[in-house]
Amino acid sequence: MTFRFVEEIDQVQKVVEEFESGRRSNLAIISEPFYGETSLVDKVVEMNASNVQRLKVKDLAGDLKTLGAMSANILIAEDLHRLYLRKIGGFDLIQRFLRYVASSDKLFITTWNSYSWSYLDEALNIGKEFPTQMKLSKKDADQIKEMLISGYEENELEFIEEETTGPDRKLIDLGWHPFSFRGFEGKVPVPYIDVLKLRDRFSRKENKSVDDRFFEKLARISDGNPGVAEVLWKDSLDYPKVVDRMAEQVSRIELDYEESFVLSIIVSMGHIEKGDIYEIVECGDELLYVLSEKGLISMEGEVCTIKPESLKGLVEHLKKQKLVW
Amino acid sequence: MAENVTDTLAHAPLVNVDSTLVLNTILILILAYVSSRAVTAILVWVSEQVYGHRISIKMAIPLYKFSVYGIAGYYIAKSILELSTVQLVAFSGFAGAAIGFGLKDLVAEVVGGIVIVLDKPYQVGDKVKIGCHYGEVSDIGLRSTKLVTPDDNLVSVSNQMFLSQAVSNSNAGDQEMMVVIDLFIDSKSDATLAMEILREALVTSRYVYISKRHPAKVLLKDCPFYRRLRAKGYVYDLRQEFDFETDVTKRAWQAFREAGIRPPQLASLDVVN
Repeated sequence: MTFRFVEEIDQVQKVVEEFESGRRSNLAIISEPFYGETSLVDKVVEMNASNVQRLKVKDLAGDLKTLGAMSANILIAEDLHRLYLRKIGGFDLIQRFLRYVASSDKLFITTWNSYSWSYLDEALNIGKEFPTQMKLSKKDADQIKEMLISGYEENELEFIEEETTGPDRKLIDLGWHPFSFRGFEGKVPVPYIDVLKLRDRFSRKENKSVDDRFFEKLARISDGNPGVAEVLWKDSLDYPKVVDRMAEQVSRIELDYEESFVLSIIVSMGHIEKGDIYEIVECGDELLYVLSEKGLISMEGEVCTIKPESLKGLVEHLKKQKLVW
Repeated sequence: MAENVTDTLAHAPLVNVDSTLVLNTILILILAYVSSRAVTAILVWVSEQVYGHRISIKMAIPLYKFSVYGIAGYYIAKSILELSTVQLVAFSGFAGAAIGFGLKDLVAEVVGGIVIVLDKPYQVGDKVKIGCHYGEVSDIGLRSTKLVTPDDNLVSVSNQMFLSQAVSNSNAGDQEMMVVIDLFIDSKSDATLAMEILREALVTSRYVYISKRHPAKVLLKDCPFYRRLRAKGYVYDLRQEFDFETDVTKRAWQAFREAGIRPPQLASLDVVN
């Protein structure tokens, strides 16, 4: 697998060089959940080992004294969206951190969840403390292909198309929609067109190789998120075979507003402890149970996480309600 | 002038009013009614499915209704009564003057309806206050506008009220809407802390919608015996207006109590009395 952040490393190094020549411009690296920006940070640390120190958010939690004890001129802090909770009093720590950043003469290189960043930029105007913002871009099918298979010889991998499991999808299907009219309630059949099936029907398969079709689908399902693509790739790779078992999400997400709100919190954090959810909403247990039952999140002990393969559909659902943007 | 109109109408071909003519007229009116109801129902359903464009789609409903009834009226006058365009205009003026005296309120309502459709002071889906009635516009009909109040009552407000009274529109065709929430605290309480808490209650609410064009603000007003905190924030869907207000008020007061911020005290009010 090739290193995927060549251009981004150049940008970070430019910020570091400018700092060394006397111009400080704190950097925010903003990316979607699962993007895999940690390898970018690893590389930055490796390249500037002599004057860089790395911070963990858990070291900062509740106490900013750690910051004062750091001697390096360049501080790299990851996952800073974990410094806030969406509740009254939930901004205390991040605001103290921002005040420290404003008063410090050190260079801060930070990473943020893109949805938390958008929210905090509107709620707290955090952008002013981080004038240089680098939004990690979506990758297209060719970039994802290069990233994933450049370490293999030509024809080393055998791509196999397999029909996705599950019920056969029809081009036009009928769904039952509830309605009420002057006190009378019932359900009426409403036709739904499967857009994906329609696209498949009109796409010219014969012009593209199996591997090209595989990576186009991978890019589409992962929405260009290399971290998600990597997870899906690992699920498909059965060396030397690559079996396409990826299922496109076609079903509409049916959630009430409260459930969608909790989902937006989890998406904005990537993963979050149950206890934090309970502090934000009442009946957190029930809401998490519903999300888990619907297969939208997974629970590992006390931590709730969104499923990488569901990310695209969840974000589209939440964006419609402006719960994330 | 009146003689000219009478003269023009006198030259209109005589139409035998038979059962076919009556049936055709009734059939056209029924078709117009059914088509108007059906298209309204379809547009309402579609608009509720497309979350972000609800109001834009509903805007088409009154326009469609007025067009359908206008075309039906024109068709009845022109094709069935077989009037030429000049006779039709003359007849409209004559009939208008005649019914204007007898049914002036009804005519004023219909004219109000046409002005509402053309001038768009409000649209279906908007939150408006007309006279003393506040609610979401659910329908703009030929003679009245229907509002669904916060208590889920359906209020019919005559369209002519728009011509004679001020209309306040909270969202003016947008789905987003500003909500103003007033909280009152004791003069001795820490107002700076209270403002900070209220702002956090506002921006952390599950219903808030914040962007550069939709900022969240808290204002303070000092009154003789209390202080008024006014929070201004937006909801993305105007139907969340009261949920937003409740959520912010409830959480803000909980935090106020924990921070020792008190509501205006009765002792202060006694002084006034």
